[in-house]
Amino acid sequence: MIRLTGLTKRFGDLTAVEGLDLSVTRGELFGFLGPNGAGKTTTIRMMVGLLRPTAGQVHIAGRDMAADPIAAKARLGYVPDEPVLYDKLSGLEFLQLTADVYRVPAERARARAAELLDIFGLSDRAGDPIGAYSRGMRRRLALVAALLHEPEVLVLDEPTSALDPKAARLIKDVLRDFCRRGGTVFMSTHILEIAEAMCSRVGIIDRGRLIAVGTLDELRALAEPGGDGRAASLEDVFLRLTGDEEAVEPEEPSGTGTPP
Amino acid sequence: MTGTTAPRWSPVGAILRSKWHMLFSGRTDQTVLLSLLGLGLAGVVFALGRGFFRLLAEVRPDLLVPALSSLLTLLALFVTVLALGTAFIRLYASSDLPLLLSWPLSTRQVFTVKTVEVAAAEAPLIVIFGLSCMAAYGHALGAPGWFYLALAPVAAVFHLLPTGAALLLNVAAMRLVPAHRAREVGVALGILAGALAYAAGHLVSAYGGTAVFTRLAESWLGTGYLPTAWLAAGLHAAAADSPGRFALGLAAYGTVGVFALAAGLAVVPRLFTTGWGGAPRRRRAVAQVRRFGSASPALAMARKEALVVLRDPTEWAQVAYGLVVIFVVFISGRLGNGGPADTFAVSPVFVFFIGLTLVVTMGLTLALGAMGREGAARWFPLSAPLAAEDWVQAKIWGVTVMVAPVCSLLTGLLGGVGLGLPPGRAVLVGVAVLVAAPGSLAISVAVGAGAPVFDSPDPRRRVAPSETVAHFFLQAFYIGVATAVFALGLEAAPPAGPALVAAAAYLAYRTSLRSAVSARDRWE
Repeated sequence: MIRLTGLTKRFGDLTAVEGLDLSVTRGELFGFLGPNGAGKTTTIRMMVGLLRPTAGQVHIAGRDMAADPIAAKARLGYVPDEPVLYDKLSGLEFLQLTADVYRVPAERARARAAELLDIFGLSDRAGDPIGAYSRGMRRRLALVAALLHEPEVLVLDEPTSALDPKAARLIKDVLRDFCRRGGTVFMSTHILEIAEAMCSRVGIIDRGRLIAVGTLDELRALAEPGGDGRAASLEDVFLRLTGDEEAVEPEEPSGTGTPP
Repeated sequence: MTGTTAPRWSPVGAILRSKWHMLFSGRTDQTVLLSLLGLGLAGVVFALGRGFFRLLAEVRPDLLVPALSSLLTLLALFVTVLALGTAFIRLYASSDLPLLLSWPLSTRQVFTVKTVEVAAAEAPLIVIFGLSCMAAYGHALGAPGWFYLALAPVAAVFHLLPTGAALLLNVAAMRLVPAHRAREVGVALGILAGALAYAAGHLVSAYGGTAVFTRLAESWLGTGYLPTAWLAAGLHAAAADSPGRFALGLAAYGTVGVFALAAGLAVVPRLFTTGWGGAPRRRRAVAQVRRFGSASPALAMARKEALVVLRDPTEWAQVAYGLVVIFVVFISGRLGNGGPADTFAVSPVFVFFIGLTLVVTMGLTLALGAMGREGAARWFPLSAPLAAEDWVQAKIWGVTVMVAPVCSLLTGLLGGVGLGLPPGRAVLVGVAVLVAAPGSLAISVAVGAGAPVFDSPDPRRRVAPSETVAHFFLQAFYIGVATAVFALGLEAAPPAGPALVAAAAYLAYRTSLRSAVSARDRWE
């Protein structure tokens, strides 16, 4: 459903992402982890067509983002890390704009908008200007817009930041349901508990390179159990692989990850 | 530790001191430059004012006090409008207000800080225009030396009334305007005040300062009922070496000012903290979902563009500024001697030229910055299945539907009513402007797409400066070509004028569209 091949992005001398190969299959909820500045957002921006890769390809639902961007984007729903929307439009006007741009038939758009606004608790504020929304409400509205055209793939950058626990829980439920119905979710997060609780597979990126990919069990196998004998948590794995743990010996990951 | 010592500054004093440091620290060059500019401007105002008051003292000495009074009234009104904008921003869009309110300070102390900020922001205006004008008055009338020393308390007291009035008006206005729109409303007020000042300045130079100020002195602005008239009477007495009557005038004005400021300081914190000073939330029901319709992506984006612009007062204030400048320039040209309008006053070609200049002026804000206006929300069109050409067309047509009809109508009215064109010719010119507008606006959008600035809240700075310069050259070329083909067409057969203009506009539109689409590919 999502295929990234040799994905590379350079900004002048800085290589933000290098040779990233990754596939995410239908129905998967894929977590994309990495320290700040590791290249998560750059990767996501290339996936959704905001940035042009220096090298490599992005395929979304079988469509090449470079060769056929309209078709690829039509199958995609995206929520950025800071979903800045048009403050002068009301929530409803933004959804109407989204429906028209994604060519959702009016009847279908009406039904979907009403349903999603209700699910995300925005029905009574849908007529208000977005400028009067809180950050959490904007994020929820962005997610409503991303789901409005019933995409095959959802790409979310830090989807639970700025949300209260209730809204975060709601979004987790919605994403799980989306995957159960055959959708694919690719989400970045730095909250490891969320990745641990939600994701079927996880990829870890560090300094622009994908250093590990696999299920949680596969990743745990990469890290030795803690000194107290307990199984390694995702946090242990993450710190070990990204080299942020003081006690960690330098070690190349092997087996499950894409070779750096 | 050898015991405690009392703090050197009161909390309010300490906050103001730190704000003062933040304002000036590390900006010595800028401060010196601005001070020199301010001094130069004050010198010009002083020289002009002295000449005016000397002349008035010779020909109409009875109008001396009303003239000073009307000038002070105008200044007070101008300062009040600006202070209203500043108070909007300081009270409702302030980044440090939540922090100040969380500190162990009384609400009144916090609002005292904010009031001083508002007053301080207007101080340079009062010094440059008010003090120099008063000093000119004294100099023209041969005032004694103490007159100039007395101007210091006058300047301090002059602040009170506009600041207090602005605070009170601000809270009342915020009942109508939601807090999240405070900044844009404040900026819009500032821009409109600038437009008024510009128009006033041009009118003064067109009619001649003496005539304008004499008319003002004879109007209601010069009547003795206004507090500024009491201050003017006091200053007149001071110029005549009468300290007692000066003190009386100052005290009368000061009493009203103190009352206004005290009322502001007493009422505003209470209204602000109880929530009265906020607009009641207006919500619309979810039933609006029924209004969903179907439109093409380009049409939907064009509709979005129009809605976003129409709802942003800073955009319209900027457009209004441009229109004021254009009209003032052409009207003052007609009033002056040998201006271009005198030569071509009844020529449809000249009226068409004015109309197209109006289009360019409106486009300078609305079209040139159209791509930059997307700001941080550009992720939406960039990640949506929207072709670059559709997006650019949406920008052009979204702006055109707002600009073209307005300019066409204004041009027709200006030609038919203002400049005496026959009705048929006025309509023809209006139609020509209507069909020429998309070409001009497409050029602006395309130039703006070349180097958009996405992080500027200022509508004038949504494109790189180099592109703004290029924009002027391209628009001058387009205006020249369109005006020439309009003139040629009119000579052949009147309807051919707009037809040829439409052909030129189409060429400009197609070329600009291609250019903007290829520019979009270079954004990274």
